[in-house]
Amino acid sequence: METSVFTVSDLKFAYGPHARVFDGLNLSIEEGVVTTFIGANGSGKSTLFNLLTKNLKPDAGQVLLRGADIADVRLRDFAKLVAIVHQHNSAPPDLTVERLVSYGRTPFQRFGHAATEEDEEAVEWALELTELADLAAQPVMSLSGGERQRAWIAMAIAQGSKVLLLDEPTTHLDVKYQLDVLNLVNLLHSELCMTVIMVLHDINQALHYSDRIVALRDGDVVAQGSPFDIVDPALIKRVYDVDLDVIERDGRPYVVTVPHPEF
Amino acid sequence: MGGKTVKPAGKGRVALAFALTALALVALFLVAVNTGSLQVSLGQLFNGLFVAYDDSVATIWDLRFPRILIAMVGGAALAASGVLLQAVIRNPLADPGIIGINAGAALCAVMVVALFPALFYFTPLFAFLGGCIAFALVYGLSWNGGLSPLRIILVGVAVSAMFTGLYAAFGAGSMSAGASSIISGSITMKTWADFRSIAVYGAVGLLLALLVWRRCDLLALDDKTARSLGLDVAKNRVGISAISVMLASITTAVIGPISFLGLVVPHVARLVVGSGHKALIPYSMLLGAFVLLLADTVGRTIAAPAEISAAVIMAVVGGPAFILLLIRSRGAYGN
Repeated sequence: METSVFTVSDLKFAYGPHARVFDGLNLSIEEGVVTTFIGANGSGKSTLFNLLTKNLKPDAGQVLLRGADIADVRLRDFAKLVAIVHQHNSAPPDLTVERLVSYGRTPFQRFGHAATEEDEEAVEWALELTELADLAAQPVMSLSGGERQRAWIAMAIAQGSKVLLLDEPTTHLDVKYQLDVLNLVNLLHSELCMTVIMVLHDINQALHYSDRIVALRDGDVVAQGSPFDIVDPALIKRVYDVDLDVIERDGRPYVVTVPHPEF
Repeated sequence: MGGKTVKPAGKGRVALAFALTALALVALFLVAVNTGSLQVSLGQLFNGLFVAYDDSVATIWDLRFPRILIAMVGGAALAASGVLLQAVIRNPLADPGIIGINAGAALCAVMVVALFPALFYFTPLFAFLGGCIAFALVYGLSWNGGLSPLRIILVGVAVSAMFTGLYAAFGAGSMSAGASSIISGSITMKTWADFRSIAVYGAVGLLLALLVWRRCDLLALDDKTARSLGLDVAKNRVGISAISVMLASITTAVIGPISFLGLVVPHVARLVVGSGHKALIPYSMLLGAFVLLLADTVGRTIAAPAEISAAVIMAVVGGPAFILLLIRSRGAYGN
């Protein structure tokens, strides 16, 4: 029997009286796998991300984290269970990579106490994993886009939680760095058995790196499951409203994101 | 924030900065003690203070010491207030003077001094109330789904002008000496009673300011990122704002509204010790104490026997400094 890390039940959310996003959403996200939300702009994938991360409050319904309603979990305790990498990140111009990564230990540091040995080890480990040890003394904002994103992921790793959520971690990066970041996420999953939940814009990267896909359209889950099982031209049509071919490589489906000559 | 990056300040540089600034403050203190018509030698001063009664030293003790200490505490408080305010609204151009906190505090202080002189010792508390009202007004009026750096400055200037007009009108009507001393922003004629007033409330505010450095560091990240680390961003904004408003209001209640110090001192401090609040907050206090004491000491020598108030000196020096910062950061804050 599979266990679910997040369970969304009868979730309702609206940004305003005429901007309803979810009207009774039900969803279960499995522990220990990589789950990716896909959907067109306005499908609700970012809103769902913000509801899972306590940045938005549901109007009705619940989001359960391993059975506990996250509305009742204090931010600090939530931060010990779940690490989040948001889409937009900035830092003061002189903040070093090492300092930034050490902020990941904030949920564990009692007010006014210095960092413990355990904190320092966690920071060092996160820097090693993300291959940032050599850049530890550099200001974050002086790094390339890809290195910068790795630094924020390193901060999240230093939190030591088993669940990692990433909101469009590859946006604004060159394709080389996009792959760097996704390979790193893949490593965190395969080596550390982290549960990964992310929002991705690129459909093929979503299909390649995910165990489970949650496809959203207008606030509804139109399909969820393994990419092998659910992806076909009909699904792509329903999610993105375009007719595209689906091809296979090593049995895994990919979408040809240019129109077929016949259309 | 723009793409500009700054070399991080090393530990040695930070320690040196603290030591040199502290030394400069001590030296300035001794100069200030001896500035004026009455002068004593260093030996005579020590003798008079700690060994035997000395007429000149006693006069200096009663007239100059309170004023010097008030300038130091006030400078430290205003600088700390500026740092906290800048952390809270994520805008290095924020200053308690520019955005109207000082003017709001001054209005309430002037009203209490003029209407209820018996409540003298509680003046800082009423000033705090006035500062809170002004800050709430500015924050509320410039909130637009988020805080635009430029918008908060513009609204702040308007609120500041309104309260400045009100307390000037009120002060002109009341003709009270206490009220006019607050309005002028000068540290003349201050007594040990005034010092006690600023020291008691100021010590609380300064201590609180020293405790929130970690929270200020996290607020410098994006709001969602700070939340993901367990920081309740909204609650901490309110709390740290309150400390900032308190520091600025207390100072205003005793010295009067002084602008630009809360802007210029933290800015220089950032260049010296970096933007980490663990060093930035205490260093700004030290530098703020130095700058306001310098402004006051220069103010009472430059045109002696007439005096130019510290507020005027700060405005004359701080105004151009503010313009310089605006020009330098044009790209970053123009939106």
